[in-house]
Amino acid sequence: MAPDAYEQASDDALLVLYGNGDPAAAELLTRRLAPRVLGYAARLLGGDRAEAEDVTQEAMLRLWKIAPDWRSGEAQVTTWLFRVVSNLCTDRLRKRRGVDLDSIAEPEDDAPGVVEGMIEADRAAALQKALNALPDRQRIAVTLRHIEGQSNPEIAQIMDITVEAVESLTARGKRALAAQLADQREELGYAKD
Amino acid sequence: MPKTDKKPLNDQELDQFFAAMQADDRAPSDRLLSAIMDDAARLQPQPALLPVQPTGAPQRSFLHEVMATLGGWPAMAGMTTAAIAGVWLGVVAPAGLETLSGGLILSQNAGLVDDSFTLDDLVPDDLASSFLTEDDG
Repeated sequence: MAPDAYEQASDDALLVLYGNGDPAAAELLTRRLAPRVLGYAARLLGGDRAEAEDVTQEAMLRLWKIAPDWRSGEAQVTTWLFRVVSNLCTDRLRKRRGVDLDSIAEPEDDAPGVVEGMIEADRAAALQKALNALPDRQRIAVTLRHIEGQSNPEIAQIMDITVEAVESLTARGKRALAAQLADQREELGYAKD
Repeated sequence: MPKTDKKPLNDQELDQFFAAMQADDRAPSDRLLSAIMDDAARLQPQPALLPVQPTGAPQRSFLHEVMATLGGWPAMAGMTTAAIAGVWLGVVAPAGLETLSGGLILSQNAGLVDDSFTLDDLVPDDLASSFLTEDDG
């Protein structure tokens, strides 16, 4: 297959090619999917990058294993991956709470000048802190909807719940985030935006 | 969840936080990418190979190749039978063959054949003779 054709191929098609023994498909899938998986895992795990990398490698490993049995057109590869990552992260968060609740990584609180307003990294850190305070399912639903850009039906498939349940989780999650972040509005100079 | 008396962020303000987090994506390290691709190479199914003829298999001679092309032993047996039958017919010259050919094939007086037949022999009387003598009437 020509290089351009690889670039334009869907994740689904590339996974089938990988399952058929095409070595070029694996590299392209890795470069395409690993950043998204890593970002999502890091957000669910409260910003713990090292643990997010472990989850990313494990999720991709499961993808390679399922490739020979992958049935094209039945599901999107990203939907399948988000589901795997959600489950892996939820398991790790439960174990982590069982050991030490305070060990959840806090975003670095070294916000520099805030006179003219928060820079994007500060906003991201503040949002991560607020996300960490949400119940797991709300955090997963809000992250998938508003950060990863998944649709409600896709989230329903990922979380194995109804679309109505997704809407309820995201609505409650957003209300909680809005309240949490309001505390920091003036402190972080957001009021001047 | 901590309670607050302050006014919650509206949707537009909250969307700016979401956008900031989307922009905050960090690329995976080279170590992670290498580890993932190593796993991929290790677990990748191999394409099915075409069956290969064992190297110790005996090669067929030219005669065997010709025989195989003509149809193998059954065809060779038929051709041999036909050849033998031809030779036998030539040598033995069965009497029945002379009868069937009307003396044309094996006759020793083949040069007289032209004299053996007349027009009357070939055309029935009621057609040839009456046709030729029609004017008399």
